[in-house]
Amino acid sequence: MSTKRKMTRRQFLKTAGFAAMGATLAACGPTATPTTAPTAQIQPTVAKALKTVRFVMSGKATSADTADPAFNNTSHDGRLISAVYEQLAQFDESLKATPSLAESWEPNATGGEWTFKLRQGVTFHNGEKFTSKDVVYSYRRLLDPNVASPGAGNLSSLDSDGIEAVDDYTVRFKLKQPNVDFPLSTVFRQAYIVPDGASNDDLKATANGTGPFKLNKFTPGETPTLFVKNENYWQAGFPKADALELLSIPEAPSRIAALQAGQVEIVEDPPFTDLEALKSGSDTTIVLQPKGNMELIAMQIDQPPFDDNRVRLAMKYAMDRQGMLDLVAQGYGTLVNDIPISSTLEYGVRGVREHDIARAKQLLSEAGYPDGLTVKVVVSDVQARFVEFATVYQQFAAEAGITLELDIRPADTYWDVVWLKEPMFVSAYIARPTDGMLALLYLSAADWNEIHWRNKDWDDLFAQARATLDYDQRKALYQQAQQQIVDEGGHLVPYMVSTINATRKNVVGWLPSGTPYHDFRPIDLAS
Amino acid sequence: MRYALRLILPRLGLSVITLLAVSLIIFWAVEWLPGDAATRILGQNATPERVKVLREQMRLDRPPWVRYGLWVSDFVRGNWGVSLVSHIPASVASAGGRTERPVADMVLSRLKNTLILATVALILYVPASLLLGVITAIYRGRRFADSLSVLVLVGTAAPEFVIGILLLLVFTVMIPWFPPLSLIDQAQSFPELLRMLALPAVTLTMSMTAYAVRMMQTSLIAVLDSDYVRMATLKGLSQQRVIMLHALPNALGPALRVTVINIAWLIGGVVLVENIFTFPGIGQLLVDSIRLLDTPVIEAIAMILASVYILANLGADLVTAALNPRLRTG
Repeated sequence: MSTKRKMTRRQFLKTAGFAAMGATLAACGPTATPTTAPTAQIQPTVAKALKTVRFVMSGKATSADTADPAFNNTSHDGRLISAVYEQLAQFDESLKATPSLAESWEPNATGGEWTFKLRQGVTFHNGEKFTSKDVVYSYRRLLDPNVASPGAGNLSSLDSDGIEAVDDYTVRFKLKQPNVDFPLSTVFRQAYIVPDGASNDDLKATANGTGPFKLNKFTPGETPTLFVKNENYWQAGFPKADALELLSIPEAPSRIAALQAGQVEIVEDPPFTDLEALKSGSDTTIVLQPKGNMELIAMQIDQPPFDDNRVRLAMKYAMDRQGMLDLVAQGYGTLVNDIPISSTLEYGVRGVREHDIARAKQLLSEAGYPDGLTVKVVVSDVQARFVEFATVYQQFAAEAGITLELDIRPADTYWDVVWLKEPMFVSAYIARPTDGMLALLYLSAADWNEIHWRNKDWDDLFAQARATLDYDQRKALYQQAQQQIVDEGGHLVPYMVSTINATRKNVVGWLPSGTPYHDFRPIDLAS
Repeated sequence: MRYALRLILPRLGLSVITLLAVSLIIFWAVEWLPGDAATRILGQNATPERVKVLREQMRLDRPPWVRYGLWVSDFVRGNWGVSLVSHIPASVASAGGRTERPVADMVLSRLKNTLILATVALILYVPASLLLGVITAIYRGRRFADSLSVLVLVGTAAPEFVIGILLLLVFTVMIPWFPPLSLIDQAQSFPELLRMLALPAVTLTMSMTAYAVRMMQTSLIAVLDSDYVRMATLKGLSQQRVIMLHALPNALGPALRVTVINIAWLIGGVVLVENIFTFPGIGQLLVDSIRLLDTPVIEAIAMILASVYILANLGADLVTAALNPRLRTG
């Protein structure tokens, strides 16, 4: 009896053990093989001997990522599309328009009609010639309400009939209102040139641009995304690298470890706390671009107590700009003056407001708050530094008798529920040209008019600046329009944070852009 | 065999009801969250007109009950639907032939990766927890066993992201034995695959083992102190025989329960570990889908996780019954 029972138990344990092993092996065997299968096809083109640059982007890859320029939205989209497609013009260092697919442009006498001469000898990745038909198609597609591109708003000065191909390499744009800086308006996240007739489905997962790299493998939500050199690229000698891999590594310590271990070459936005170690590392270094993000607090100027300009000014004088920069961004950046337009850009306004607590207090008591004022600012960790920004400003505001209550909300719904809707909230903008930023934020009809700046006279002043052909006069008008917002607007903008990338020491030629447009052409690896 | 069937059949029936309830709760939980896939995708660009167009494209303009009903009827017929966010961009011109991404494609490829990782972690886990549990129970009171117990306690207390990041810093940067990125889809050979799996698997194993060892140790100690074990020892059986054949089978029950919880956690809750090692598993897909409120993907993953949990529990009950004769007859 006892022997029998022992046997059954032993047998049971044995069989159970084997069953478990069998199950695990079964799970391992057939599933392990296909993991290598999809990559096998691309290996011949992305061999290790070639110069492959592995680039870790700052955001996360998501299943909403797309390769279609008309829907360029996520952080992955911006980088993929910058590598594969090109626009008519591109930004230079001070965000002026310089030629890209267009070689030159010419306004008529009023600035209401623009003629763009296109570059010849450019081909799409599938070998077809790039001509004016592609430009007309791409622009009309953006304006098509059925396509519903988020970029349509950028072309509000155009309608479909106003875009015409004069000949194979000339395109004419007839604007609704004159715009002397129209070439700048051709640079935005969705304005990339796709081939004539390309459907949404063609463009979603596969890509066919004129850019320096061809898309080799892309699955939304999964990285790395692989690119190979466009051998027929129009600019001789570029791109320098043979292949590009775009990766998403969600955890900051893992990003840094991957760079230090040499598994990747470039990491965007390393944490400030790691910068010293990366700078002094034997294999790593950092690259700085002065342009970047501007965190800010928006006050809606039609909501009490912000409907009194003295209150807004008091909030501005209470802010220690250098202190904000040092504490929130570790000093990596430049000071900005209550409008998200840096003085280093074309038409920028110089000088920043003093930190003046006495003045702030005086303005507050003039406005009827001699014993101080309590206001609520809504914030979220939807972007890096947002909460730190509000917390540090809270301390400075307290010195002037302003009690800032922080209302911290979930990140998921911040843009949906808080932004544009609360009287006071934290927001941020990346560097844009002066004209574009003003149009985006301060025109009465602007979608993103977050401070409710609705001023007919200002709109007229802006339109006049846009239509003034003489450079100095135009500059004066643009500066006047900006100064008005600096003095009376509802934006508290202390600084612009530099864009920082960490790289392996052998990476040469790479400079982060500080804008949503990335120039991957000059990246190279020193041997 | 009959007791097994008696146990399994009603439980399977209940499982179907449980799954249905889970799918309902998940669906309405996603409905109740502010915003929808359209506003989540557009983010800062969400003007009313664009949201409207996108909602129509994703068919989010239909009432929720209709959408749930359609989803259930498709799901039971084996069609998991298409990812909502893959609807963009879609135009009238191409409405006939959209290249939407089937949920099954997205989920199964990630599930495969997670299963590979879970299998490796389990292979390490079973002998590790058995061995440590037995050692700490038998040699309790001795210094080395007690220090092992303390180590295990530390393991229980340290969350997996602490263990993971520690392992990452030590074994990829300080001693570069393993790659910091476990991009197993990129692995070119079996040894490379194993190297990529090593760190995440060890992290998971350490988190799971700690708990199981504690359970193993406690129940084994209780069993070793019981009368029938003392009887077996008095009969003159060797210590090895007493432990392996008399004590261990009875002590395994609680440890098996913990293992079941561990398996369920392994499949779904490895998000943090997947994040640390950039592992393309199902946890990352789930988090991503919840952020985008991509209901069909969330539902499919929830169904898989719930099924794993239900089946693992059923399996544990069967094993416990097999090990304990009293449950067999009752």
